[in-house]
Amino acid sequence: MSDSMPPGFSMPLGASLYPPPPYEFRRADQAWIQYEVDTEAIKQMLPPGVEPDSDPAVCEAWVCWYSWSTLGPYHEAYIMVRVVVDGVRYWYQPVIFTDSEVPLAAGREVWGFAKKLAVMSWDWGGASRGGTRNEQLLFTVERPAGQRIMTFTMAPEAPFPPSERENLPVLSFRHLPPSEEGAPPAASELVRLDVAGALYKSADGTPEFWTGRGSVSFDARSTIDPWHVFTPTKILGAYWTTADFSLPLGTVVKDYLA
Amino acid sequence: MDINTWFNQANTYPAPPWAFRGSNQIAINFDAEADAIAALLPPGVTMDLEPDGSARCEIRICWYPWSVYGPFHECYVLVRTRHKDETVWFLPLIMTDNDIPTSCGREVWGYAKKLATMSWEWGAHTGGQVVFTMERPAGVRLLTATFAPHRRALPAERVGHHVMSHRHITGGNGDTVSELILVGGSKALHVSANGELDMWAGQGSINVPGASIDDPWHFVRPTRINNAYWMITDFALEPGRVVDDLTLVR
Repeated sequence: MSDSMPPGFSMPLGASLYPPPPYEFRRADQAWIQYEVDTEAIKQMLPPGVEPDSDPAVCEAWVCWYSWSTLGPYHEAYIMVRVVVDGVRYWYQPVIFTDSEVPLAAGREVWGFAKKLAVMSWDWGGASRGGTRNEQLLFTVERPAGQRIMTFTMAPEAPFPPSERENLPVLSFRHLPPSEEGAPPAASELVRLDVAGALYKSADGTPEFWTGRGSVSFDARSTIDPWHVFTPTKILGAYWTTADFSLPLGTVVKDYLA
Repeated sequence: MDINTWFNQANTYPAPPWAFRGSNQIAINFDAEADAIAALLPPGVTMDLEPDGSARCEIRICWYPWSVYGPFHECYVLVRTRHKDETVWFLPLIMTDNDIPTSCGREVWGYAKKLATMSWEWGAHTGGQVVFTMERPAGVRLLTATFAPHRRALPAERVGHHVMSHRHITGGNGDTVSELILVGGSKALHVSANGELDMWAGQGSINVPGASIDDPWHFVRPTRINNAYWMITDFALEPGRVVDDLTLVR
């Protein structure tokens, strides 16, 4: 009888789906729109003890194309809500989609990023969807294919000073159900993630951080994927970065089972 | 507020039980070389070998046209093992093609699911056989299995054991949940219009052509096919029972 585990970090041991952190990303394109929302509408999506840090609440809709990572290439889209927990401010992430199983499982299991698979496209100029080329990045999210959950556009117009971006840690809710009826969950906790990264620079040394105009709409009214509760009431800004970054293990800041 | 109640918002999967209707499952029972498979077993689980030293295994290919996870295909390996004083089917490898049962399976029972491209074909072009294929990624064939139904069968023909999985998840602060779980649930065979059970015995084939360290399905290359059955059932999956905590072993 063996007294040691099969090798590996994640299931299946002996043929792991994903390696141990940190997970490395190179030349990652990320765009987001910051906006205000109806505070009451989004409260249902926040776990106990997590409160918006303003009224109206401030959210961000992020769209990402990761052309190279140690989890493989994939798209991602998510919402973040600026919150406060025990006096500390975070970007809390209530909903997130990806289109690859490896970051799906790693995200859910390591940090509690509540990922589902969706059909996404990152289209710079709109031509691949049969339209004419134009000034806008177009990102679409459908789940399932044919049911549009989010449509995002961003037109980059001017470099943005990175120092003007307030960097806050990301917060997620990690919940592992019980494996026995009547038993407590295996984990139920808020996890903080601090992301270390570096912006690419253009030939003249300007960081690849752009601001401009943007739009975001949450098309479907759905209880399956209720992204529509994050519908903007006022757009505050639109941004696009190209960066390398690294995702380490997180830190538990609240244990609901304690 | 009860954290389990709150968690019902925008759930990836609902609360148990998880119901299936009209499920097609084909079980092909076979023997294989034991050495490679042994490397996939967790501490406390040992091979229950045949007298000639072979591992007794089963591959199950599944088409679930209706479930609360949506429709999906699935394919998994069972290895006959011993844990403490019980004979169990240990489940080291499993693939599906839908993210909802992937997440639920990994998180609730430790079914180590990955997504693959699968097909279940049963038609005029398949020569009287179900033809099941599995590729990961698409274009890299991991398994081809076929089954030809030959006669009606009865449940008593099959030897049943509990299925065991290994839930092993590291996250949060780096803490690991590592436990062996016996899976629960109930299953009922469909009954045809003439009152007979929808269970068929027949001939099966398995081909695992690859040699991959990502997806080592070639570890269960058959040396002898023993029997094969096709069952159409309704069933419901429920949480299991933790029979061993391996958290401190690592």
